[in-house]
Amino acid sequence: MELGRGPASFFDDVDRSYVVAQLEGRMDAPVELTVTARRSSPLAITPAAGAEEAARAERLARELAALEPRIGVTVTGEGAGDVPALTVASRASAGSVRFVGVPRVNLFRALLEAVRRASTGDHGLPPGWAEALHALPQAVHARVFATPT
Amino acid sequence: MVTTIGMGLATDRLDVDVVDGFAGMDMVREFAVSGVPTVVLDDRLSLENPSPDGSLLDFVLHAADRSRPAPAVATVPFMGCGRLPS
Repeated sequence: MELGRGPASFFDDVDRSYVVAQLEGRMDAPVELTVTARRSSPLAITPAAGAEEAARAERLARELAALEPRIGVTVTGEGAGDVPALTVASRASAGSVRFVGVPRVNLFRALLEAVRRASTGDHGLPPGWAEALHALPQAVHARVFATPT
Repeated sequence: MVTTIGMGLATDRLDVDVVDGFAGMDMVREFAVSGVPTVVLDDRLSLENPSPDGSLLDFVLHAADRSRPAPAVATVPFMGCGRLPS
């Protein structure tokens, strides 16, 4: 890395245009992106496991926030594992969704969709589903396995 | 995937993790995931390639209340890693 220069941007111009097209004028309430990642000092000789992906996750969240003023970013190392995670939450939605791993390609599109849905409270569910979910007798943990392509 | 995301946003009774299978290979192995998308509920029930119809909701309702009948679609216990349904 050259001294005095920050890390390369996560987004290129095409990505930025895509993000703006997906979110501009399509959000209501602010959305909080919480990055849970194991941070590592750039002075460390041996970075912590997953530090590079953790830095990418944080950069992605901060670049999203730079493009859309209704997105806020919090970074925490509490509970972080080797794989970074991004949690999407908004006061417009009762629940939240966590992306495990840096979301790329299709998963990045899903992240933007989650941001938009969280912000608007329009979750795109068939009639009656939200009521059924609110009435669950106990909490359920769902893992959705997907790939970027 | 977007339906499950919408379900997670709609309620705090359903915690949804969207796992990049490449980044989360440990979990892929742990839950014997062989294709995507796959939804795993409470570490014990698996549904491959769920369609965004009522079966996905039925699957979640069954996970939360075992007295409810399992939906006709695949509800496969993870016998390989010892996660048998109670």
